[in-house]
Parts: sequence; C-alpha cells; structure tokens
Amino acid sequence: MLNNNLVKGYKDNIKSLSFSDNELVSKIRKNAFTDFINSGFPKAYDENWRYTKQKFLKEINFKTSNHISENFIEPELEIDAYHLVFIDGKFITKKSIIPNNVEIKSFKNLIEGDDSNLLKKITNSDFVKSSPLALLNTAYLENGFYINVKKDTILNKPIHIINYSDTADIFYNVKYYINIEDGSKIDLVESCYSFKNISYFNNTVTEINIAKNAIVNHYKYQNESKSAYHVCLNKVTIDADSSYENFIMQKGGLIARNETVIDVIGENTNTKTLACYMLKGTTHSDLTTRVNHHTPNASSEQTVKGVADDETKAIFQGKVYVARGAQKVSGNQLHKSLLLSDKAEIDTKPELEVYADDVECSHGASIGELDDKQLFYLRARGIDEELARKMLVEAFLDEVLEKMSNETLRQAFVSVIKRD
Amino acid sequence: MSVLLEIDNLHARVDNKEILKGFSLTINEGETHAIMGPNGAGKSTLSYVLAGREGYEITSGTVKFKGKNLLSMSIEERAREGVFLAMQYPVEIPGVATSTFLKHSLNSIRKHQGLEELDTMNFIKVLKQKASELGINQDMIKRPINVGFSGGEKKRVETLQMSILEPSFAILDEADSGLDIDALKVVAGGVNKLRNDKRSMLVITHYQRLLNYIVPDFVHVFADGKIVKSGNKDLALELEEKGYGEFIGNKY
Repeated sequence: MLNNNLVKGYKDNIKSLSFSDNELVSKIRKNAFTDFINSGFPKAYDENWRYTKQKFLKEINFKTSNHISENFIEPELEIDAYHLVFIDGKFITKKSIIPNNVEIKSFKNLIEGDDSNLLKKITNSDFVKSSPLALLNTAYLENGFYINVKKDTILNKPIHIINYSDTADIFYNVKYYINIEDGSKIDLVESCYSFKNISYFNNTVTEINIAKNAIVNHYKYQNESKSAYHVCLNKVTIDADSSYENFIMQKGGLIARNETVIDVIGENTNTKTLACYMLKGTTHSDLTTRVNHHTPNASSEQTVKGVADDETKAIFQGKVYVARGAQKVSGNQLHKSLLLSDKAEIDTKPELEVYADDVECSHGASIGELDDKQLFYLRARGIDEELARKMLVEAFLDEVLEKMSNETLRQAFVSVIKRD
Repeated sequence: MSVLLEIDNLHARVDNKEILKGFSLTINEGETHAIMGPNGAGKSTLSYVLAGREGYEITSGTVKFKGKNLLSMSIEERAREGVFLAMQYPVEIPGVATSTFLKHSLNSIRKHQGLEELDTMNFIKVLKQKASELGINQDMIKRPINVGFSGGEKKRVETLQMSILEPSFAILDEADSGLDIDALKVVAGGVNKLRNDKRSMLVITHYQRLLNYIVPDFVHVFADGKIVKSGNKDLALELEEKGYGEFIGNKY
C-alpha cells in the first residue's frame, strides 16, 4: 500500500532537507511519519476522495531537493501587497517584503530562535493528526510560516504569499499557521503557479485561527504547471462576531485538489467560500469544502461556478454540517457549471447534514452548456465565435467574482481572467 | 440601381420539416421591402436563415449578398459583410455590459472593413450621441445586455445597435411586437433615420400598423414558405381589410 518513493525513500529524502541535524525537528518529523505510516494514504473508499482517485499519490516518484532556484517570475496577479516569496516551496527572504506590524516567523526563525513550544504547537494540531497528507506535510516539514496578527491590527495592504515552481520532479511541503487576534482585519492572497511545463508535487497545509470580531479575506490563485500535482488542505477556525471570506480561482495542474474545512465556533459569524474554475487540457480539479457550524446564530455561503473544456474533470463536493443546538444558522450552497466539450466531466456533490431544527439551509447544483441563443446573438453582431464564447464564460463566472468584498483584489482577479 | 440581395428558390427545413418552399426575392440597394404573413408561415425562419443561425438545413436554392454566396458564410462573417438582424425577442445576456458588447461588435465590423478600431474614449462618444438620439439613457448602456429591459427598451436598444453598426442590410423581425404606440414611434423614427439610397431593409410583420410608420417600397405576402403576392404599400392596407384568407385561400 505504501510502497512509494515518498515513503520508501523517506530517510534519504529528509537528509536533503534543512534542519536535519536539529533534534526537535527530527523528532517532529519522525513522529508525524510514524503516524502517517499507521494511517496510510486516503483510502479508495474515503468519501472525501470519491472523485479524485488517490492512486496518484502512491505513484509519484519525486524527491525533495536542496537546490535553490534563482529563477523567479512575477505572479500574474498584479496587486500592491506585502510579499512572502517561495520558489519550489523554499522561502526566499531577499525577495520578500514583510509588514512591520505583524509577527511573521519563518520556520528557520522558529528553529534557530529555539522556539520549541511554538514549533510543536503549529505542527501538532488535531487537524494535522487527522489528515494523512497533513501528516506527510509535517514529516517533511521544512518551509513555512507562523504569522500572528496582534489584537486590533488593521493591515493597510494584503499579504501576498507567492509560491512559484521552477524545478522539475520535486516534492515539496509548505505549512502556514496563521493566528488572527481579536479585532484585526487582514487580506491574505496566495498565488501558486509555474510558467514551465514541469511536473512536481506541491503539498501545502494552511491553518488559520480567527479570534473574535475580526475580518479576514483569504483569496487564492492556482495556476500550477499543467503536469503538476497540487494538493492543498486548509483548516480555518472562526470565533464569535468574525467574518471569513475565502475565494479560490482554480486553473492549472494535472491534479489539483483544494480541501477547505471551516469550523465555526462562535456566534454571529459570517463565512463565505467562493470559488471559480476554468479548466483546459487534461486538468483534474477537485474543490472540496466543509463548513461545520458548532454554534448558533451564524451564516455561511458557498458559491462555486466553473467551466470545464477539452478533456478536463471538475469536482465540487461541498458539505454544510449543523450540530445539534446550533439554531438560527443559515447555510446556503450553490454550484453551477458549464461543460464546454463533449469529453469534459463535471461531478458535483452538495450535502447538508443538519442536526438542529431551526435553521435555514439550502443547496443547489446545475451543469449546463453555453446558451446557443446568446452565442448566436453575439455572433450575429459580428463578434467571432471564440471571443463570443470567452465573453459568455466571463459573464458566467462574474456571478462569483462580484461577491468578493475586496474590490481592488477582485479587479486583479478579473484582469487575470480577461487576459486568458 | 444595383442588386444587394438575391434569394432564389430557397428551400429550408428544420427537424425534417420543410419551412421555406421555394422562396425568391430580390432587393436592390436603398429599397425597403415588407413581408407580411400569418403566424407559422415561416417568417422567422427566413430571418434566421439569412442571419446564419444553426439548426436550419438548406436543401436547395441560393442567396447572393453583394454578389457573394451568403449561405457559405459564418454568422459573424455575414454580420461583418453588413447583414443585421433586429430580433423579435432580443436575448438577455447577464454579466456582459451593453457598452462592452457594442464596442467588440463595432470593432469586429470595422476591422473587417479595413477601418481603424475605435478606442474606448472615441467609442463612448459615438455611443452616447446615438443613444441620446433614441432617448436611451446612460444607465441602460452600462447594464448587462437586455437584462431587465422592457419590451420597448429592448427594441430601442436593437435600433441603437443598428445605428452604430450601420449595416447595408437590416432585417427587422416583428419590430413592433411588445411595443405601445409611443415606443413604436421612437423605434420607427430611429429606423427611418437610417434609411438612405444605399441601405436596404426587410421589414417582417404580421400587422399593417408598423407599415404606417415605416413605409415600405414593396409589400409581399408570405404564406406556406413562399411569396404568393407582391405589390406596393397599398397591398398592406388591402391585406388589413380583407385578411390573409383572401390571398392565400381558406387554409389560414
């Protein structure tokens, strides 16, 4: 079952990682690896992996690398922001621009500063322990961040986490652990991309803890190489009177899976998970989200729209869970998609699991094609078919983008779509 | 006077049902022709076949436009050559602003004609001026195409498109449907303004009323897939008085 380079070659692989001689790091890695061996990769019958066959995880034959690439290409998303720059999953200090009113510590800082408690805390959450890929991420722990946004901090610019891939046939793991204290307001943007047609495996884990009365926008642009594997796990916890807005634009990758689990643990919260996908070639895109309402008086919205062209496959699995006693929760979920080719496939699985009796929950899903009448109308005014299709796709996706609350960032994403 | 459009013995079918059964019509530059016929005669099929919409099978006959084979052109090529179909039911397209759409449209046509494409500033200038002539306010142009427009507004915007794109041949398919008398006058006024000795029009309607406002040079009675009688504008009045039965038998 685990007869795989990531497992069999583990001992050799970690030798090439930084901090191999640090006792604590070695221990953290080793424990996580043991737990991973015990749990194994996600199982074929795991409902969460129903449409993305986990087989690829066992077949990947990549190695970790200590090579640091000098090549860097600016992200497609043009925004005025602080930068945390990674190349092939390795943090590049000299290219980064760090805000001074936020505590940002790279793993190197934590390890060299001997901040062992913090290091243990961020690598040992229940969430990490419950997920095989998060365990694997910890077993290969090397790069990442601890970010702490102190009470009542209003950040004037977004923090842009830029992850550019340049080297072929490598496996890398990145971990972000972000704490947002009471009353803070922050915009986080992530870009994962490559301009080369190379294969690599990006396994990223993000944990975000949002305290009370905070506002967090968390947007992501994914345009990995068309031969790359991108598996990202996001875990978000939201406390009372806070709002969290997540947006993902999913474009690239051979297999790209984004799983987001949101635990709502306080009242009067607002959670929005938005996503759009534009797939071409042979991309397999999996968006899996789960919102767990543990407390009453909250609202959550999921809106996902996308188009699948050529021989692509798009998956949306969205679940809203409402615990017993979590009354007055409204949870709405919508997935709309268009098939642009006979060979494309879209799988959609909206789910509600509700144990409270005074809630307002809805879900809906549709799969369609571009409207012939609309296409005819545009072409009958002289617009060529390709542009007409593009205009209709953009218009279709706009329904998601217009829900984004940061207007400047929204514009940046819109320009990326238009440039396509 | 030179020939603009020449339809000869056109046969077309939809889902194996023959709709056009030997339709012939020649339109010279600068002429306005009206086609009148009962519902189900094939009037909309004719307009879609000319505009190139998919789903219609041409089984025989020819259509020449400015001497070229119209039937072999794609939808957008026809539009760029100067064919404009003002639709009976203009389509709503959420998410696409009317002004963006019209800019793409005009520039596609200008490019084809070897003219310089207009930049946004110059385009907006043209658009604003033409819109105000038709009593269309700026808000409407910014809104998505036809979304939430009343019947009258939709037809006005179709007329606006025509006045911006300046086609050599315009087909007005039931231009009066859904219009009250005031809106009808505005639309007809806009259309009449565009009439000149080069531009030709084909007005398709089943009521004579529209032809009081857009007075045609020729009127044709269309029934069972072809023209059964042709005449001048008085034929429309005669039709209104006697009904279609008089001309095409009691079948209708």
